[in-house]
Amino acid sequence: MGNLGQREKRLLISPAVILLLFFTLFPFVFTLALVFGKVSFIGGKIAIQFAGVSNWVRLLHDQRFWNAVLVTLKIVGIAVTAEYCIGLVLALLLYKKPFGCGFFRVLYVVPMLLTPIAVGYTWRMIFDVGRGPITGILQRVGVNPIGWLVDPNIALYSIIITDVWQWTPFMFLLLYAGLEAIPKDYLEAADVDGATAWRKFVYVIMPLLAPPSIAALLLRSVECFKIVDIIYIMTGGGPGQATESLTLFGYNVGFRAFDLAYGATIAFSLFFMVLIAAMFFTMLTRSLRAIRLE
Amino acid sequence: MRMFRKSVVLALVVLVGLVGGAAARKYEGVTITVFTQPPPYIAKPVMMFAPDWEKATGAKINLVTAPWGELYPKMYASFGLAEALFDIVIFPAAWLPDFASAGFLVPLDEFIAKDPYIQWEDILPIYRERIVSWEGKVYAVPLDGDCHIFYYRKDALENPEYQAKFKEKYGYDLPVPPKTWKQVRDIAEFFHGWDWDGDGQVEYGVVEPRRYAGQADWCFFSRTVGYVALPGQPGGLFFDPETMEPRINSPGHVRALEDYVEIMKYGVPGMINMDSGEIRSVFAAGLAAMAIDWGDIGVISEVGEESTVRGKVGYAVLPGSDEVWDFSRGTWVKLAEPNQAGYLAFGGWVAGIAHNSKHIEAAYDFISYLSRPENSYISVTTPETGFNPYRYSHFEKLSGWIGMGFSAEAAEAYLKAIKDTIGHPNVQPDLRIPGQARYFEAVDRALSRVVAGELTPKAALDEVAKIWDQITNELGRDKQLLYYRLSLGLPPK
Amino acid sequence: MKRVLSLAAGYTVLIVWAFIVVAPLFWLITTSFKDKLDVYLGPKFIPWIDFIPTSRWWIRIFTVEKNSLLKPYANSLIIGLTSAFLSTFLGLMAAYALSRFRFRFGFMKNEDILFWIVSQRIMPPIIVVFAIFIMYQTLGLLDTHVGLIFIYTVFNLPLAVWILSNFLGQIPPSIEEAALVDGASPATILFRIVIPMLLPSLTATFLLCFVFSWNEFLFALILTYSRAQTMPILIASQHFQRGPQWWDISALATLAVLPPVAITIGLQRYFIRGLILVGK
Repeated sequence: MGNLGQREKRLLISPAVILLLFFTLFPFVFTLALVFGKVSFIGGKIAIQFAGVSNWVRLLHDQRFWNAVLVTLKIVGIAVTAEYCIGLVLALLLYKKPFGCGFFRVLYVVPMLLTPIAVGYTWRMIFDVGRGPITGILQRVGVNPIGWLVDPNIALYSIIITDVWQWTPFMFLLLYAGLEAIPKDYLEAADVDGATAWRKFVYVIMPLLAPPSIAALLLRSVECFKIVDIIYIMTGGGPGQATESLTLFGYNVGFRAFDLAYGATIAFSLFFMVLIAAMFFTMLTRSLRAIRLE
Repeated sequence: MRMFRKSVVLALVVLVGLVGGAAARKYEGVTITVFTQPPPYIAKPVMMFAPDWEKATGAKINLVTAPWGELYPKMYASFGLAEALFDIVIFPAAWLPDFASAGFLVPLDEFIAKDPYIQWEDILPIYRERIVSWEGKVYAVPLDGDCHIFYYRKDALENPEYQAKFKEKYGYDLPVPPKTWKQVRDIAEFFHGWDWDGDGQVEYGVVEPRRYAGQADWCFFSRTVGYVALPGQPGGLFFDPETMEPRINSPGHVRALEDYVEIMKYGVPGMINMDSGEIRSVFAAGLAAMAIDWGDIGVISEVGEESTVRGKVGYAVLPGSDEVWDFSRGTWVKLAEPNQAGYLAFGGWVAGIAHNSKHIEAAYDFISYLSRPENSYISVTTPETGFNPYRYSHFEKLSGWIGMGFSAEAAEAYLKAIKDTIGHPNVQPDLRIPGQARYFEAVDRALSRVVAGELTPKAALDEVAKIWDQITNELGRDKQLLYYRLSLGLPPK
Repeated sequence: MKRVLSLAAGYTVLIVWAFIVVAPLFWLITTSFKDKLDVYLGPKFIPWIDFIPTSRWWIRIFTVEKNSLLKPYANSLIIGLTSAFLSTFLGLMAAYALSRFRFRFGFMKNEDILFWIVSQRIMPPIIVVFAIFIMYQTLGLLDTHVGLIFIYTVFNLPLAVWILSNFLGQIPPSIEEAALVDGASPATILFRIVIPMLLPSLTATFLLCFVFSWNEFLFALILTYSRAQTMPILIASQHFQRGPQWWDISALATLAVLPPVAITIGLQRYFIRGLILVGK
């Protein structure tokens, strides 16, 4: 296919590349410049001075930063794992198309389609310690109300529960598609060999599901690292710092305290974290491919 | 023939002149863009009065809004353009120093002097002389008067049976209204966790905002003012007026913060997550015995549809303390009578004209229209405008309040509390120097961490003091000191 | 017997999760029919038993507040559909180019270029938000439909390229080569062979891009004021001085979920097929 002209080749790819360069490269560089500078508003005008690595030094010594890192890592680690496991179970139950699977499939997708702001408000209502339905039900069975969003030790898990509720459909869809793609003969061969469901699962299904799994984990983790909308609505980052994710931290510093250079630094630290995670998953994919080729 | 033609032409000219004169309205074809919060609060008056003004002047009002957190950055951005996106900005008075010192606003003294409608002297002095002026010039027109007052449930605190039980338990008469925060604490404890109004639901002691970015910082300062503002010693709340040293971590502030945390034991469940908006509905739904707020709880309680406490609300000046921190001596002093002070929290919403607007005259005309006595009276007595009284004339006529749904008794009590606060001899203005938003942000964060148990009050406030020093140095210590003294009504050093 | 047990267990799990999905939605929808006091003195569960439902909030949205509702709704639709279409189309072009031709931009070969494009998705929006604000301010793109369309197209482009290049990588170019030999023009190949083959993936991509644009918050918050306001911002600004207006928020959120749900139900078959080869 290589004999299509140079012109056509470039024409096909240029719009995408140009858009990306313009809208992401320039801002990226600009923000990077901010990171090594210091922004002040003197007499209403923005003044940027060079400040070397002082922002980074400040960041690494900032307990609030490390708190945000911990919060973000906890959320990503627990939520994505939970979403994967639940999504896998649901996909396994439905990929053989039992009765009613069409209905379940459509229903399960709905949470993912809601705007996160609305999801945040919904669960804020549900978790409300004075007037929420959970409290109402607990009180009827004689249990004390739980301070879902109020107790610093529990608030983070409430956020995780909300994220799991909203994004399990994402994992479910990808794993379902992955399961559907497994050639029927493999599964039938295993049945003929008299394999139990468990052995079938471990030796046939999981290996074939590995690539979609990794892709799903990668995609979802990358998105989850950026979590902010739900937290903003449900707790504002509180109580105290208990639920302040990195993005929220950056937003608070940049737009509430107007410390733009420091905000940019925080944003970049998030970028590095996500990059590392993505590279980890990509390497996993490559080594998996290498194994399969053998 | 010539005579005839001449007179026809003359008649035509006169006719055209008459018609033309009538049709040529003052600002025909001009569009004024007004920028503020989303309706109803603050934007509703704009929407209420725009149509008539448009008809009279031929101009058009284009209302643009943005959520609270976005107002400051967007206004800032608009001021920096060649041609303003927003001609009129309606903003919290606390931002006036930032905008005025940067030259973003048009000075309005000349317009006001020539304006026969605005009745500038009718505006309470503290608003027209302090809140909207900067370095001797007026930069905005007040549309709203702000102060914090204290609310309580009369049916709880004035109940003789409860008063007797209270005296038994605490050993003194239940003060109505309470005059110190210690009394508030006892009353809150007494009324916490049982059904004292007989509606089948459990009630609680207090409801106050505690949520980060939920205006809890003003609630804190309201609770602090009695501990640190001795008459005759200005500047107790924020900085030392001689050195610009932060006073935020004084023993008075620390004590107030300890109260602020302790009272939560007797607060409505979930209070830690509530912002200043939510507590209003919670109080109006009858769930708490006491609250602190601007004038909004009053309106919502007497008039709002979600209220179960119509006619049951008492209004008072903020409680204070009989132990006050004396900065000049560096010790606590005990007073015979509790020291109460008013706190002009937030300073109110004001309207300014962007320096880079192309329609300054027309913009002023609209602002004046909004602020003139008759119209502003309607604004402050209409529900959901968010505008509280700020003119003498607002306090004199009760008809508007009664028309809104207040009983005459409630209206009088409500207005009295506000007037007493604003006119209090020891009234404390809010912080009005450049960088106000940043200073307060540091406090807001500290509060949320203390309340979550992450820091002790003293440690948190010490940290805030350090941050405040950093901000002051960054903005120029001498300048900040000068501006601070001006805001307190003190002469420059 | 074992079969029946495992079947029952399976369906129990499915129903439990279905309940978990539906319960919050039930709360959301019923709250939009509650009076203010029914919310503040809650929790009230079942309509007509615990509380009397009222349709006043819905009526108000469609009459008094019609203008402030219709515009964001229309904006979200226009911006969402346009940017999804552009992302899908441009993504298709780029993915096709990358999987059928050899490129060299300096040291970057096809695989590197693809990685660079896809890695843009990794970048947290907060990094670029301020710079884009300044950029838009200078270009006069603030508060315009075009402005948001651009930024959403750009941010969904990597996703589109990834999904489509995965699928394209699986399809041998033999059919296209045969058509080329037969004398078909590149345009014919693209439109009459490639696109029909890719229809499932294209619809999956389109739907995903649309949903992301429809629900996006941060850029809409910072880059618009009123003319180009979208639904998420409208919902968020229901938080008035009286605290969150739960009933209005619930009604608006319910409205906001309808278009994505409708599109999903309509396209769900293609959606699944289109995702099948994502992981490979």
